[in-house]
Amino acid sequence: MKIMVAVKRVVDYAVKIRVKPDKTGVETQNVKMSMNPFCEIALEEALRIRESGLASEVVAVSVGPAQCVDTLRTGLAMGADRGIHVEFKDGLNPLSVAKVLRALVEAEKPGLLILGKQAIDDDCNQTGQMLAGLLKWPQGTFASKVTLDKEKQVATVDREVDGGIETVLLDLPAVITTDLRLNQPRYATLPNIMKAKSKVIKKYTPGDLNVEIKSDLEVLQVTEPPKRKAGVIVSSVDELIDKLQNEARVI
Amino acid sequence: MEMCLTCSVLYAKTTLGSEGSLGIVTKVSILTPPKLSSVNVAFLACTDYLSCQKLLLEARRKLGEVLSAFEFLDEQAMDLALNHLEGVRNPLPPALHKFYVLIETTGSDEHSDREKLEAFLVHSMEEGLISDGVVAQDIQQASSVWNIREGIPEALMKAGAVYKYDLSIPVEKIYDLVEEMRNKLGHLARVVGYGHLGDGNLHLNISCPQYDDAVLAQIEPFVYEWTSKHHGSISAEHGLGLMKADKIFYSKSPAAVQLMASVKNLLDPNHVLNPYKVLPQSLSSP
Repeated sequence: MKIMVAVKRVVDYAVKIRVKPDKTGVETQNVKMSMNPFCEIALEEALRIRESGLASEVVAVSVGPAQCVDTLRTGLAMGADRGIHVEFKDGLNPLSVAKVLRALVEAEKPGLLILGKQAIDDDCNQTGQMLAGLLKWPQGTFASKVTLDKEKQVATVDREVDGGIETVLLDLPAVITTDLRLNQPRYATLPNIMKAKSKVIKKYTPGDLNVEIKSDLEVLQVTEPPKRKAGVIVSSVDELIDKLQNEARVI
Repeated sequence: MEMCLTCSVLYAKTTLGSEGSLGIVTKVSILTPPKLSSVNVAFLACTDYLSCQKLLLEARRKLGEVLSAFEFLDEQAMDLALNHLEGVRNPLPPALHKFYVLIETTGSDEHSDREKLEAFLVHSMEEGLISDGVVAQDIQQASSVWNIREGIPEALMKAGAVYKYDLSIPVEKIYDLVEEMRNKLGHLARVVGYGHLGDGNLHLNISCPQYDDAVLAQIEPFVYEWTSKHHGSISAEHGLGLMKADKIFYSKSPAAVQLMASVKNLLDPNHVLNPYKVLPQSLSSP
């Protein structure tokens, strides 16, 4: 069985982001970019499934500008067998990415798709679900545990939901999106970094896949959240009551 | 940090490193270059100390100006870190290696720095200098690796009693001291070595369940004599302070110490600035 993992290049999780002065978005120049943490977890899970003998190949896919190749190289260095880069400069959105991935699924015919639950730059949490919808495949999102049964061709997925953990049984092929507690991604080891240099990254454009990238949304403005006001220490209960009554107006 | 030397050049240069015994800094003007965004961290395993040294030489040659850190730690240091630090995992499982080296590069071009580092690492692996290694893929992995190295002092503290020595020794001799100390102490204590290899600095730490004069007697004055014999400094970066003021003669000649005392008397005649530190008691009184 082939597993396809979609990975996204985003601003590194540990970077302190700043909004651009013109408020059109977040500053990404001279800022460290890395693989989206949830995508790392997705790739790690795919690698573990392959290592347990339940899959034969892990293919990493990234949709975006030329530098996505760096992210794919990281994926290959972690252990993915090959990479696919769909090059598109600017203006991607979850639905377009889902359509691109659907086209690739038709070409590659994987038995399982694993994605991060969301990207840390847009926090959309949509691509996996939209992709499952387009493919009419079952989906197990926010996975905190995945168990495959090769014979029965099903996947048991524990999902992290607000009320606790929900367990679903999916017929393969299926789409799984990963949550934080699923696993801890491995470091890229030197032997694997060396092997990665000779692994293939195939290039496509959206046109090659008959997908038109368009967006129905326009970003009007990006601003920082309002700064939290400092707390005030009051000197007496009377003062507290006065503030609650006349300033906060809650009593 | 560049020091603005518009004030008396001699005074400024003399007070730096005097451990507060010649003057107090009351104002600082800092000129900072922009922080470079491309930082790469690799954590490597070496089978022996000689490989660590050769790796340092190669790193200086191949990485040059982007090399920003070169730290080493031994198997015992790693073992302590893994056992006593929270949230730390072995980057090179499953076994422990004899030596580990942390290399950090800092530069302006992510792509070319990464390629430079990987080319250097691949070459070093082919030459047999490294037996294994990992390269951090994002800032969090880089921090995790640094936490191992920087957490060793904390791990030592949690493990029990520790005798700490901060020494400057010629690079090729650094680990000889650790091994001699280990032979000397045998089962009495655990000898741990780590430090800024790039600067010839060794943090020698002897760890045992409790403080024990018998252990101390084996360590001192042996460690000072050894360092002195190999033309090292008994206080590399952390200073002499109170504990090592009397040991200054292991690293400085009597004439040099006398000169230091004269400067001290000139700049602080009443000996009010951080008394009892740096210089031996006998020379410290006004």
